[in-house]
Amino acid sequence: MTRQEIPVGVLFSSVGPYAEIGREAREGARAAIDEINASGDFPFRFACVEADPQGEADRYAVLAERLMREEGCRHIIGCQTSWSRKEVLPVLERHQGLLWYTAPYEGFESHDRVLYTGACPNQNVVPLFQYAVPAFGNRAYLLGSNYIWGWEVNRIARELLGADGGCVLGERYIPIGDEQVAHLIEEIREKRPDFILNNLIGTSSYAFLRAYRALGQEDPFFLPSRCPVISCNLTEAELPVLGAAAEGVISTSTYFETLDTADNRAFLARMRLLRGADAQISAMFTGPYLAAWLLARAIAETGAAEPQGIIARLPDRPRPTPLGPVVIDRQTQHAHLTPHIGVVEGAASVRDRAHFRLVGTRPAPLAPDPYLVDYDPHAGFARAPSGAAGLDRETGPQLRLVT
Amino acid sequence: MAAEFRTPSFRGWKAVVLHRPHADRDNICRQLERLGIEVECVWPDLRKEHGEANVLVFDADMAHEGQFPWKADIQPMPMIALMGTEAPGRVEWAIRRGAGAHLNKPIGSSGIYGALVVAQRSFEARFAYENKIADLEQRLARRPQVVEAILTLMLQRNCDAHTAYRGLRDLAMAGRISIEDAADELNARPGGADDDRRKA
Repeated sequence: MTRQEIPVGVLFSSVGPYAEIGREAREGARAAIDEINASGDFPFRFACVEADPQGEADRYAVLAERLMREEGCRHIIGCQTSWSRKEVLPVLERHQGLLWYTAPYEGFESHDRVLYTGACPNQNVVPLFQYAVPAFGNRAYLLGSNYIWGWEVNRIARELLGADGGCVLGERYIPIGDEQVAHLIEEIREKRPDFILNNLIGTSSYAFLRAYRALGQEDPFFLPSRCPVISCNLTEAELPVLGAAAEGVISTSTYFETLDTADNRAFLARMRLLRGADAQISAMFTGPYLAAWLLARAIAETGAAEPQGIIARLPDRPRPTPLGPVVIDRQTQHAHLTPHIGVVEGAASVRDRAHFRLVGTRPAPLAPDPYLVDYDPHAGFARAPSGAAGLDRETGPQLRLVT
Repeated sequence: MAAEFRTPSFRGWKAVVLHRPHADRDNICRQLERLGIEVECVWPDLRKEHGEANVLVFDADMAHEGQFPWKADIQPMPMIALMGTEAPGRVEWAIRRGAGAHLNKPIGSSGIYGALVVAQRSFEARFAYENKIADLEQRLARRPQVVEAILTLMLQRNCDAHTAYRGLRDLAMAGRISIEDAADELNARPGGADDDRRKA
């Protein structure tokens, strides 16, 4: 029996300044689509229709238009930068399509034609600061690539620090792809902050982390134990290209390879068969992977690929995925997610494999709050290790995207 | 300074939406509710108590003067106009009615957050300016009293106008009152500025 074929757009950049995470995302979508097609669980199969904007923001809308108009895609899994997502919104409106946006982002958006399965600010920068400020202090240096992600995450950071009585010792932006970081290192050397929030992306971020590691070797004040770099978007996908420069970086993510759950162990075993024993699996991979699974579940349930029916039926109830059930909030169309905090270890070792050691998690997923409606940045940070507002600092977290 | 900027939050606000039943109205309500705002839809007529809402969103195409229970020069809250037609008369009316921000129709799933921030900010700025202007007008109206006080001081202390003004300002600062109030006080004394000294 031939099954109906449903084209699904996959829109990620495999070359350009953030190619590492783009390739990882594309692989995630492909892996899920292959599993879904092979599973026999669905009365349809997905045709993976790929388009590659090559890291150029202006290409995203053009390619999204092509996917929807010419290829007949009603759904696109794609975009990683907020810049590219905003470019695609008018196309989605025109064709009444749906974007599955899986990257962590800065919030303050809730578009009808988008399902957001990556972390928004109350699920990324807020928990990161709830961990970092009590641990390292409240005098920070803020860095970002020169576009909305860095601007807005740093603005939230500035507010969190100000409300805690802390301060911003410097706030600098460089263009996406720029690798000139010497002036940033000089300023950090001079200001001696408690920590650095790094919202640089791709090659700029790699250049900075390499230079900062060299600074730490020169002056022990800048070792990760004393003045760490913290991040809302460093994942396993970029550890191989970073090498030793990633050692000690603290990052928040809704998925880490080291999450010790039965679901994750089974998932990793399958992915390593597929991608090789050394493959690093990251949130950049699992985001599109889970999105494809959610899409398949939703189509199976509604009996059609029509976005309107999916938006109407998908939210509020947990839907099973290979990494556990996921709930999409109806009002904001964002996912409930559990933010974890991890520190990179083993990156400077020849014997170990670089990985995130979990240093903080939450017992249950957090409801999305993209406009920070329910969060008071002025409530301050709990200093006690397991205070009410703080993260559970015990290790041994559970991967439960939803309870 | 770092602590000064606060993420604008509209949680707990009450919004009144003056719009007939329509998809645009539904989309606006959905956007407002996402922000933690309680919404009341009203059509055709606003009532006086709607003046107590935190924000009014009104249809600039169909709404008209007769629907408002308060005069156009009273703007009790920040207002956002929903505009379909850009006919200058309608835009002008929306501004006159107090719109501090607007959204173009058709209303989709974004725009209200930014419009709320702009409308609130311009409302607060206008409120602050109006207070400041009223204060300055009042002070301007009392200029003759200030001149009278300076002249009295010049005569009594045998000094120039500049020194007399400094003397008046010192009195105001010492009493933590405005120059105008200090002038009134001085003018009210039977013997002018030197009244106290003479008594002593």
